[in-house]
Amino acid sequence: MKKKGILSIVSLLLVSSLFLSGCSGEKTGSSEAKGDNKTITVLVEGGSPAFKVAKETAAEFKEETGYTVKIESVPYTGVYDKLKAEVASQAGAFDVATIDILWFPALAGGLLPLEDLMTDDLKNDLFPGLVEGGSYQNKVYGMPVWTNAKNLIYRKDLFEDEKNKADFQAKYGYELHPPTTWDEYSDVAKFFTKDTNNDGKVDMYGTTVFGANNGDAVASWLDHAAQAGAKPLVVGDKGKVLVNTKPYVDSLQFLVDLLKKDQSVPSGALEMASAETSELFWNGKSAMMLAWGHFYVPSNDSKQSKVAGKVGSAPMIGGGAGIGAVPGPWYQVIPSSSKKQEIAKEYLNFIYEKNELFMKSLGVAARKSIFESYSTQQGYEHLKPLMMTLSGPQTQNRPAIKEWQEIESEALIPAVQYALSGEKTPQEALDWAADVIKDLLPPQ
Amino acid sequence: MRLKNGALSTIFFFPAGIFMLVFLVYPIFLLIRDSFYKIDIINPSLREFVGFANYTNSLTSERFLKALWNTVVYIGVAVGFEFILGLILALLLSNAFKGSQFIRTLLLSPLMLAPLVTGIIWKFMLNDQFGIVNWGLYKLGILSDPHQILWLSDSRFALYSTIIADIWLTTPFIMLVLLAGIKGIPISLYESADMDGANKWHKFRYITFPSLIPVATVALLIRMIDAARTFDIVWVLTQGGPGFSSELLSTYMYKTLTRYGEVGQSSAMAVIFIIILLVLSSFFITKMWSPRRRHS
Repeated sequence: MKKKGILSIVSLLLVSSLFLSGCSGEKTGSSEAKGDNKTITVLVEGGSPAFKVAKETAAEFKEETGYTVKIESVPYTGVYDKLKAEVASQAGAFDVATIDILWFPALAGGLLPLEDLMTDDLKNDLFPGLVEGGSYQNKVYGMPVWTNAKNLIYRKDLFEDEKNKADFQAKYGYELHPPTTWDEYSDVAKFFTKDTNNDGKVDMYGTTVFGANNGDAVASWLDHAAQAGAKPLVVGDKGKVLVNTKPYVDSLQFLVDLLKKDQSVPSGALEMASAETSELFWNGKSAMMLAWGHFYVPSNDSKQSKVAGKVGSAPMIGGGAGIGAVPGPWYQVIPSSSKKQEIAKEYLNFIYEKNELFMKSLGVAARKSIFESYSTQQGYEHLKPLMMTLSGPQTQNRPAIKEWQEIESEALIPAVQYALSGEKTPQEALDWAADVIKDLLPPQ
Repeated sequence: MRLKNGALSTIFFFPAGIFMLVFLVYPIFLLIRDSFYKIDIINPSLREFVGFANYTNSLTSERFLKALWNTVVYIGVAVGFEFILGLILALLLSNAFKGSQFIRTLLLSPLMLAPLVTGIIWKFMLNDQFGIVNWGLYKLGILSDPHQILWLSDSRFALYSTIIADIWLTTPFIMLVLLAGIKGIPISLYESADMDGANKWHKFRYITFPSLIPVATVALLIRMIDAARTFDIVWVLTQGGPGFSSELLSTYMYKTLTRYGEVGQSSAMAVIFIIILLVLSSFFITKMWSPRRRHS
């Protein structure tokens, strides 16, 4: 009898401890709600410039405002997943987050509008499309921290070599220089594709084509679609699907030709993206790459690159419609569930004033004035070409629509891969993609 | 006496029961409930009851059926090879020989790796530019060009590349379970068989294999369910590409939920998946673990 009683008590204690542990979360929440806690939580991508800058400036921000900056870092897609969960749950876990331009349509419903931070001085110091990129349905939600675009990065030593110049002139009938058009790009790529050690295998490629299973492949192809005249990109007014029209087909054919006809790029294009491309270039296996502008900096770092000191940068190539590229900017945002919105706004302005730190950390920033002041310094030769690319006549953002992630994953990436693998022609692949996109978009 | 024991059992069951309710039954209830709605994750108040629309959309979707088929192929090929290789290795190691303990330890080492790490290792090995597999085959003269097989970027090979990584990772599990099963077979059965003049094949056919059936059933069932849920290896190696050629149900459900925000649709897919696995498990247990057969 006594034994039974004791056991009952123990069981009850176990059960109640379960409930108590559940309650402890609420206590933490309530203390935050009271505002007694002088801390703001910043969500960033681990290892990214946003992480470094947040860390470097935390002490100064505390000195100025009395608020401690708590940094939460997660992998790239983890930022999106966590922020999405925050927006859905409205838990108030984060006060600031640094996000990719792509994520605004899906997250905007849970972000704080920042119109009051957008002064004329601020807007005038930004590249075209940078404020628009952080907006959704005409409301501004993002404070830019850096912007970027694919640029041409090339082996200056190879391009300036007298023998190469003479050989190229003899073969193609014009002077060897960093290519500015599709035709020049194709010619130069073919010229530099060779077997350098005479073992019967090609070990140097002219350039690369991106076909990996991520958004990089899409952005890379859309750069060329823009150059061929695509505007707007992929989806037009009133949900009109543009993806199987001439600029898109021509640009995809251009990439397919580099891979299949010219064979001036590595055959494993469907595994190729920024990381793989830069590895090839840094190991001296490609003469050029169209890579995010900031890749110039590590290309000239002898700790990372075997070709350091031999690298040049030029603007993105142009097509029939001129220079075009898809910018890849990042922004700081404030979840509307934050309990410390005014301090969070102060933080956004604080970080914007220190935008220079992103230039030092990454090699790009958001503000034109910082681009200009650094462009004359050694080690930042990529900035002038990048400014040209970012201001190019056909440089434009991807469409700001909720369905973009799905369109990219379910239609655009597979279409690029079908074309590059030869399973479908570019026209067939893009007709297929157009059908998929029509299904994904809401009925008009 | 009976009453006391019953009450005691109830008391002991209670904590585990609550745990099950909170962490298993309730989430499944939420999952099933969500599968009947169209849910906007950003505005949860916009919750629209759509009946079985999420189910019919899934079952008639080419994408879903392709992912389902890939999952079936993945399970069939991966578990099939794992079982055969695991059985061979278990039989080899069941005869103690000098160094067998050491070799067993070596063979078990892949089991220590997280699937995510395995994915990264194989991604480097199978890369057509830097990968050791293609260069090894080229040096052996099997390939005429080190870039000849694009393991991860050819839609014909991508799914099988992920399967290779899974086989390498998980065969040791099957080996270990079967080895334990073999060790558990009474020696007297083999001694009797020897006296009756049985050869190695007869001993395997009539003693070893029948004795292993219950153990093998458990191993295969666990492994099949785990293979069905595979996510990490595929996510690291191919993310379901190129062009959905290596997309499994798990990766497709993940994308649908976290990337596209379609809670209802992904919930319906998950429910369908659970039902399929339950049917598979029931069939397996009923057919292979029949008390009647064992009795006879």
